[in-house]
Amino acid sequence: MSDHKLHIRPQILIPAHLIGPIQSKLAYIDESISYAQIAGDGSDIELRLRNSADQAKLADLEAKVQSVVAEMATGAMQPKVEILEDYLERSVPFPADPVPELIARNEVSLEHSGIYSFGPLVSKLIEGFENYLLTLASTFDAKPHRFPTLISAEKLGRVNYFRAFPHSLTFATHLREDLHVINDFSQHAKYEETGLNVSPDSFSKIQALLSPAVCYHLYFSLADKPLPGGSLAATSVGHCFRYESTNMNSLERMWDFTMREIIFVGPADFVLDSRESARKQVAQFLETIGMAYKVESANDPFFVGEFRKQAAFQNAFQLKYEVRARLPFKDRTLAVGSYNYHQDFFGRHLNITLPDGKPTHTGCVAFGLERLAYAFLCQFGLDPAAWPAPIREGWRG
Amino acid sequence: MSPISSDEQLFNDLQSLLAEVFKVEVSQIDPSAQLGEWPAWDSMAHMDLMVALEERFGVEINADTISQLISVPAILEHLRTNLNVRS
Repeated sequence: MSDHKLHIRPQILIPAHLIGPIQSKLAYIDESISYAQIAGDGSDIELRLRNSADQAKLADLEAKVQSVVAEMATGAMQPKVEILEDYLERSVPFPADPVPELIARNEVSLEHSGIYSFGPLVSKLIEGFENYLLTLASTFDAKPHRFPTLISAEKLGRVNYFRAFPHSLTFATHLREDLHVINDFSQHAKYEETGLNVSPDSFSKIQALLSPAVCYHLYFSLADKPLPGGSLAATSVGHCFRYESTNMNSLERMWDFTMREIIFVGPADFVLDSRESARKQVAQFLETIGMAYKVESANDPFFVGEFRKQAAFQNAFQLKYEVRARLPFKDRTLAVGSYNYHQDFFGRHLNITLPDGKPTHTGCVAFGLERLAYAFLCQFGLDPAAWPAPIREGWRG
Repeated sequence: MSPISSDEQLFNDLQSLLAEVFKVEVSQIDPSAQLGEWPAWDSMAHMDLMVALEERFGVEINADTISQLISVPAILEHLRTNLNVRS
């Protein structure tokens, strides 16, 4: 770990509810930062740098930090925290960190920062959760869909994704159609310390990205026409990609993960009733298997400039609730799923209309499958004999 | 912040503010408009409006007011009550 430390006193005392969101954004503000930590009272920010820095560089870093703090904390409102379910104190049998044993058994393998492979035990566990989520989807008569891993840059731009989450995007590109460029690459490309030694000029303009979410594909497929039947429910599973910089230091923050979503499109009451019904059914499932968790209001990780307003809007209108599972070995929680309502945002931006001509409303229930499995292993350990019977048996419904 | 002395002045001031935030002519402000039913009044414009209301009228903006002040009549009523405007 680097010894080049820098302490910065923020010009605005960082309120407790913004320590996490601001700390996670500091990873993105400069490539020289290897670690950032905000003191619990919000009065000090510690940065660790990969290399020593001169005075000009230090001044530049401090200016970046102060600008992030100012944008996110100035005039920030205290969020209204709503807890819908609280079973964090539920007794669970496993107290330790399961990761060392998972790695030792080759059940978890780190391929690259944020990129993991999983072995048969974890895969079977995920399959069990998938079986449950498919059972849940069937109660809404949610139709199965298959979506691509790539997603259209043009369509993402249409729903303002670049403005809201620029920091976490993962771009897909290819070599330009040019004999010299391709020949040069084939002869000289090699991986160096920080990546491939290829000139950015060799790559095409960005037309596609790796998809950051599953449900967007459904909304894009429904764009610019009336919603068939006036409402629908759908389900799909897919790989999602969210670059988290130096925050990708464990299974808790993966660059590439899989998400199962159940998606609702239609009038507001249909979407909200479906979201609530799903939440109640999932609560029964989590009670059956005995997981320790809570469900509370949350917001998406909007980037600096968008954070204050967008997070306040989500909070005020109760648009997002997260299922946060307890990780007993570190006495913290981890978001494993969420219940989301987008109002008519996608209907309006993508021109998806209801029979009365108004924009449709949308919502989704989404579970990160690796995170769900990881939280379960943190609470129940690696021995299937100690697991709740429905999970041990792969949840046959 | 200048004092507001009458209901009519309050409405005129609010109408000007809405036009400024939504980038439309004052004449385009529908007195019954509400969030989501008018293209210019989307989620981001709503938050811009909340900030503008705080700066112009000094009203406290929090999670409750953000979710309640979603129409011109609701905003007027809130301002009347909190600014003690004569009707």
